[in-house]
Amino acid sequence: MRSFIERLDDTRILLHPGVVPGMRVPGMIFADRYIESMLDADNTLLQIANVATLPGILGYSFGMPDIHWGYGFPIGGVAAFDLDDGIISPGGVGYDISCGVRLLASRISAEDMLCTVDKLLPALFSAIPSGAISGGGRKLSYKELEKVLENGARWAVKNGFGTEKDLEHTEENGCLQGALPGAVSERAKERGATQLGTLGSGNHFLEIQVVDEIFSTVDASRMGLAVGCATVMIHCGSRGLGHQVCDDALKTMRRKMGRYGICVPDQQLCCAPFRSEEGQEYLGAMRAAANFAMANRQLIADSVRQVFERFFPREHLHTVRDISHNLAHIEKHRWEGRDRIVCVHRKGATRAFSGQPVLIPGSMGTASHVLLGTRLAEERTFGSTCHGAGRMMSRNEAVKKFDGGDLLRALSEKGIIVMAETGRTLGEEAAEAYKDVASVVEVVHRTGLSRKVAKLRPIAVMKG
Amino acid sequence: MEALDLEELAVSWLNELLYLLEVEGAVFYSSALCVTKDPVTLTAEGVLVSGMFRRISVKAATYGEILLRSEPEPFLRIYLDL
Repeated sequence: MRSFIERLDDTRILLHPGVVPGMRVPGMIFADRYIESMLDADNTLLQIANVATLPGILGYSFGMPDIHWGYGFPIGGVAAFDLDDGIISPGGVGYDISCGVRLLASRISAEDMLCTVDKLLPALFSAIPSGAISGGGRKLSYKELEKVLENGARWAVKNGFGTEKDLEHTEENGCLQGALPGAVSERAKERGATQLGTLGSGNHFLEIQVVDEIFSTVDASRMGLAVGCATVMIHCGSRGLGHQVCDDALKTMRRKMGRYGICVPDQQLCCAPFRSEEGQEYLGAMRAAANFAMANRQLIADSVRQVFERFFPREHLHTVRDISHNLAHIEKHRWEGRDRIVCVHRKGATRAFSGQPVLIPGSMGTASHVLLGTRLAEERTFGSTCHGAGRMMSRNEAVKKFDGGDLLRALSEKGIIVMAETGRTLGEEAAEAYKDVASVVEVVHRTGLSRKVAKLRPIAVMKG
Repeated sequence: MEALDLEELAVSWLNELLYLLEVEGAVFYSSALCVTKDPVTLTAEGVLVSGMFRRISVKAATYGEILLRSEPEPFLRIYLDL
């Protein structure tokens, strides 16, 4: 493998074709030497090479600095495909379709928050269903669910769960056009029917933070972020509904791939030509699941506001940004000297168009970051950047190594209170199981894929 | 259950159990399992267990780096997305 790797500069590594047969483009990984040292630990580079074999891929198979081994596609992977010759792949989006992050900002001071947080966190924990138990959310009739799938966060705002301002700061104004609720299976709808407004478990969380450092006063001010003020970060996705949409599409495409003459090196990469019936059906179902995810974060944000109102009746939480980091988007990009419409798969990666806020959650107990997309990202990575710290240890390994009780005490000593459904989740999500998020952010900042705007320090965490 | 091949059968079966857990709250102890290759089918019987078992959330059984072999001894590897 090493013979195919060429370091281009301090932050970029080229993976030459030849790692696996049939690579159509090279791989490009954004990594400094710290991140590079972790790439050999699993099959991440092989996965970047595997993605490079898919029909119609353009430019590079990209790896963001938070890249790590995933199922088929690596997490932190980005790949753009030509619409005529290329494919669409459910594995390139992942099971948690439109898993993403919302940031709410306030003028509440850190001092006021610290005096209140020991009562506020349990109130949030009680108001927002979380954990592996799936239900507990808003019960939707079949008709209502179809509207959610079609209209996303717009449905939520229309039904009183937020404001138009929220939509202005949500990716695609809270609704992916072209969603096909009819392409979402009954089984997926059944799973989603009681899950709207729920956080879930795993790496999903709700965090109360304080703006710790500002790197760009102008941009931070435009986003309503000020040093010492409290923020709330929500990280969750499309829940069981999205998982089922992915599973259904994988099964269909795996069966039909041969008919299209497509052969993949890992079955999780199964795909269909973008313009095929199966490709278009998945695109419509994926968009519907993404709408469910955006509505989900909108409902959770509304619950957060209701709880905050009890403790801080004069304060308002405004949405800074709501973004997805597991999606395939149809976008226009200038590539190799001409404008092209392409299907950009981002799995554990964030859209970072020039001037758009980008939210990078840290691992449990570490800082999160607000960045800004750049023109350079549009030119180099189809407008993409990283999405988080990126795992460097499996959940099983982490659970064996870290004790939930010890972690609670260590975080408490750092002034961070945590509430979780189970101690196991805490072990899985120990900060030491992830890369150093500051290093990840530093790479995209130095490369110019995004610019640092603000750093957010956690003071309370709610885990599923 | 029927499937295209044994890999699909294994993944689909696990995902069926996850679906039943999520929608019905049902957990089973498997008591009998029969797999045939031609046609590819799986018949399972289980005992419904009550109580709270949902300490780990599993999104799905995946096809990622799936490995199924019969020699030198039967072996199946499936990664679960947690």
